[in-house]
Amino acid sequence: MSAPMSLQNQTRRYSQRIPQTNRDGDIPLSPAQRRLWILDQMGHDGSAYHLRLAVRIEGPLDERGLCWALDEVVKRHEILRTTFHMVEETPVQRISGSDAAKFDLVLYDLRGTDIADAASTDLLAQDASRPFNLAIGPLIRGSLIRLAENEWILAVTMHHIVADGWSIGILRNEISLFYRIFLDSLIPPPSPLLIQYGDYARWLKTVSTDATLAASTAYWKSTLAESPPGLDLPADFARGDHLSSEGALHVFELEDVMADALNRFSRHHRVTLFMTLLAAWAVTLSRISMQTDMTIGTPVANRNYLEIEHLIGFFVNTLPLRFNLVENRTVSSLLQHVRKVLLGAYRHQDISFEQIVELTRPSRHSTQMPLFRTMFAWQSVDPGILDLPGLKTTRLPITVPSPVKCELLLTLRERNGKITGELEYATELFAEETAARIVSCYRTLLSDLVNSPGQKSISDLSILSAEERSAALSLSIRHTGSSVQNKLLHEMFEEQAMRSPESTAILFQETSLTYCELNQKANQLGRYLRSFIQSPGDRVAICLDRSVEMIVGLLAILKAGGAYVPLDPHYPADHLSYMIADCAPIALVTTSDLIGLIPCPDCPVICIDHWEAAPWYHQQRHNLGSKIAVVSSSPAYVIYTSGSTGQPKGVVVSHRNIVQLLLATDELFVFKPSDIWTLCHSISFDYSVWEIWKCLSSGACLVVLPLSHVRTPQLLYRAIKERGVTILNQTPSAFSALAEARAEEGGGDALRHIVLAGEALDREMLKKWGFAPDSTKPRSTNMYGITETTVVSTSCEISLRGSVSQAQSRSIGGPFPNTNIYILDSVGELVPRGALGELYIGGSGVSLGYLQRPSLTAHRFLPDPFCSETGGRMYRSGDLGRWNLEGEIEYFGRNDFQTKIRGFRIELGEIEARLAEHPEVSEALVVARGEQGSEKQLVAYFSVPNSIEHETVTPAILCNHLARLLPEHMVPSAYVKVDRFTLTPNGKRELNTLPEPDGAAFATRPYEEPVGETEFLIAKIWGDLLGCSRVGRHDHFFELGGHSLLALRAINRIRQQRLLPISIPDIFESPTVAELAGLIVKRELAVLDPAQHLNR
Amino acid sequence: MATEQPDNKAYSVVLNDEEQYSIWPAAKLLPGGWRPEGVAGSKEECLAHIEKVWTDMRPLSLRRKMEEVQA
Repeated sequence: MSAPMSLQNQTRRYSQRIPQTNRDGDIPLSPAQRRLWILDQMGHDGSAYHLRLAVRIEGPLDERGLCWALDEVVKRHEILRTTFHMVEETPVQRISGSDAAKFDLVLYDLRGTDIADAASTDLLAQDASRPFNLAIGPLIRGSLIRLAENEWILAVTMHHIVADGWSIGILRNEISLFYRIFLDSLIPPPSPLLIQYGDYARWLKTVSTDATLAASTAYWKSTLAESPPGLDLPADFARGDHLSSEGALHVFELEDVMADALNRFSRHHRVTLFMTLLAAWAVTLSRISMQTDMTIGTPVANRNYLEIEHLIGFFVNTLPLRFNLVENRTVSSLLQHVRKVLLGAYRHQDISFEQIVELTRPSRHSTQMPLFRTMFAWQSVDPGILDLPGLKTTRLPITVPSPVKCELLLTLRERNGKITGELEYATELFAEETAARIVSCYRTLLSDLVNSPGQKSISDLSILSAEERSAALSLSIRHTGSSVQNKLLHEMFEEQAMRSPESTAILFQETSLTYCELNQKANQLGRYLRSFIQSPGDRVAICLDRSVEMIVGLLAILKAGGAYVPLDPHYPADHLSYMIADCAPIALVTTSDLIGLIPCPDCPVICIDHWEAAPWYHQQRHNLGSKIAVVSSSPAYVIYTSGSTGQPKGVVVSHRNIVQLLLATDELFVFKPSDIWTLCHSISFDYSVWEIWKCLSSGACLVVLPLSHVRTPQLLYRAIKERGVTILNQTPSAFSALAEARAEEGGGDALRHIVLAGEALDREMLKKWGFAPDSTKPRSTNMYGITETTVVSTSCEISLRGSVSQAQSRSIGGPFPNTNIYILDSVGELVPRGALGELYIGGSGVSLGYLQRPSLTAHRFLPDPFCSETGGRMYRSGDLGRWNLEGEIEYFGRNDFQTKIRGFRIELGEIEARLAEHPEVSEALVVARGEQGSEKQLVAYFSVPNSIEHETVTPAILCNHLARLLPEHMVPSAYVKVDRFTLTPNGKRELNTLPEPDGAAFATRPYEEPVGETEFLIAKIWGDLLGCSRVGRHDHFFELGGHSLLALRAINRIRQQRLLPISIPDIFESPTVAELAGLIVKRELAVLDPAQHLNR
Repeated sequence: MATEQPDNKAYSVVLNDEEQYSIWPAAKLLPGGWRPEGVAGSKEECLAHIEKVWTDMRPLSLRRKMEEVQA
């Protein structure tokens, strides 16, 4: 690693010496060198592994002296004269003689040019990034640029395969020494080196087979068992297949008092400064990611033996440090844990990082760094100084951006009591402001840490500075909308009825009612119902099929002063009986044909199907007076939600709650009286609250659709077309099916606004709607909300056209006016922007609570410490999310449901989205199945488009499709085709009726004999290399036990046979015999046909 | 996601001016408009207490209004 490293004061353990050997011939590579060499062969951007040194020199420099000094360094260290070759399938290193040793230095003279500064910057950048050729060398080079009479810049670039950060210090010191010797021959030369890097590499090979490694092997295997894939930091931008971006640096310095305090704190806890800083970094990362089991890499200098202390060479090793923040929850226990992890890692560092990777065999998917994605480096060693007599030297910052080797690398150093640091971040993942914020969190945490007693819980440590806190708060509490009036829900309707009495309010099949008619009917029934109601908010159950009467009934209950409890007649009888018993209604409104569904309700039953013969038929038709004191805090409805566990519970929502939603959304949507809405959802699902009351308070027409239409996408779409529906509300699942129907029906609707809510949105599905990219209609909005905080709380505009980024696809927008959304950590403090947390919803949508469930209500509805209103409450949603760069909320799924497979955090929605991209899949659903306690397994369910006549899709095809797009732990093992997904009465996909996967659902790779000469050749080579007697055409190189060095050998052998330019990346991209053979044949054809070759 | 950590913290039973009950970590500053009810203990103990004492879950202002009208 270029940023160097160091080791705490470690004792040099071995008394045995590294023997000097004859280094004339080929010398094996050290494991670390071998890894870099393979990366180089794979064509990775080499400049990630360039080490640089740049310094400005002012004064009368003797250029000849400096050149001589550089040559002497190259003469002294064989590694700087070494090149790398492949001999009999094994990489080796060779040293060239010292006689002709010259440092490859280019001299530039820019004196007198007025562009000296700009030109030198260009020269330095070129020098730093020009690739090295490992086989030809040299692997160290430099430029000496003369800017003015007495001003130079010296820049040196080395390939990491011959040096490390420690080596740069040696280089600085030795250049200085030899320059002095040049000027003054009396100065004694440095003592000769006892051994050279080649001796070390040879010695490593002999000890690496030693039995002493057994203990280290066992240590790393057990430490990293079931290790999660590094750290899943929520990134600003989508993770690609490869981490290919450049890095950028955020540089910072801790205040002197902080450095002192950290030193005191560390002494007090008997840990090193490094351990304290590392512990704080682990806590910071854990807070941002909500991950408590994490692996962080750290480079160690690995200079444990006296004889290698003064050698230039690649010695640095990287150790994966695994921290468990669940079991170590106080400051002092965490510090001791970090100490133990570090010391354990140091004790077992005689094994190289490459060997640890081999041992633990983490996922080989290329998006993942093996074992970790973030690193922490501590530089306590003297970096050396370029001390040239009579000259002033200043170190130049390395301004050339270099590709990153991991997602985040924090480097800290202490020099003369000052602690400085830099955070290197992958710019393809993180924005600059995010990197700055992470550093700010870290600093805040450090200052809290040093003032904390040892028994303080680490979750109580603050990472939020005052500025960050107010920034997070201003995202949480936005504008307040129009002040909530003390209006009642039915009054909103009555006012509308006054404004447009003759407009059509409801349409059901052939029946329709104007606003005036609807109001009058509801007044009549309401007058009758009022005789049953003793106090406002008394519950009236309503169990009706979709009809005009259903809306009349709801309105009448409200007008009578009651709260309606909707019962969907299509719910199972047990479910209905439970709800009736639970809510204890004072009356039940139903029809005579449904009465049998609810066994023995213990209250008066009012059938409203014989209107003309009913007792309310002669009641007065004008609005009811306020004889019963309904106030805005009175309950308006009780809707049951089924939790994941336990019994359904009734959520009591007040008039104020729903009226504020209707008013707040006025500012966000433009709904007109001329609009035509549909009632698609069951009145038991609170999405219907939005559909009915938003429509009827805006003067529009509500088309109540029969159930058969709602359940059959083709019928629904035809109804939308025939009725000229303009506003459509759908769950994403239902919408997806509808989009397909639209394609079959050929479009032609009048939709102008589509509102999606009720489920997490999969925007991949939206593409299937197939809107023309240039059309402006319809608009589309995604809403997020929960019953407990009144239907919906956030919204964002979404595009139904074109592709959407990952961040966009997670966005649920910002809170509505009068709604506050807080994203909080495990102790209820605001998290910084960008960090993961749990969503808490406050503001005027917070409902009264769960019906007759005091402790459950008290548990979920908590004091709101952030809002200005005294005594306010907020609801704990159980949903995870974070504020993105745009200040919108990204939804990360459920806190309690999030699936973990083999320790990996899995987003099922992401797998579903990728599966749905397959052309023969129309809809996909992925579930994690498995008994409690046993290993869970991912099972994919999919349906195929109706348009496909001959299905060719098989589990293996889908498995391969996903294996190309997703990490291996996210690829389901079984694939079950379903004709269609059944929806629950609420329009969400039914999970309980999905079949168990049978044997045919598993994507196995049965043995299939290779076909053709090329496949046979590949199978033979693989079999020999991997020690398999039989390799089939669908066998997977890496699943058979292949690794990168073996891949290189395989490629080499294939090349010898076929004389083709195939390289290591090919085997990663085409890892089966058949795929690789296909690729080779394609290339051979291309060579025969140059035209095709050009197109490749 | 982090595994839900066992919550061994001390809580207080609290209520607001509407006499809506909730729980709040004993160590944290109680937000304005809320007062301690008197009972403190584990989360489970506090919730069990609330289950017993919060018998009328209507907000106080609503109860008062209804009493006024009935009187």
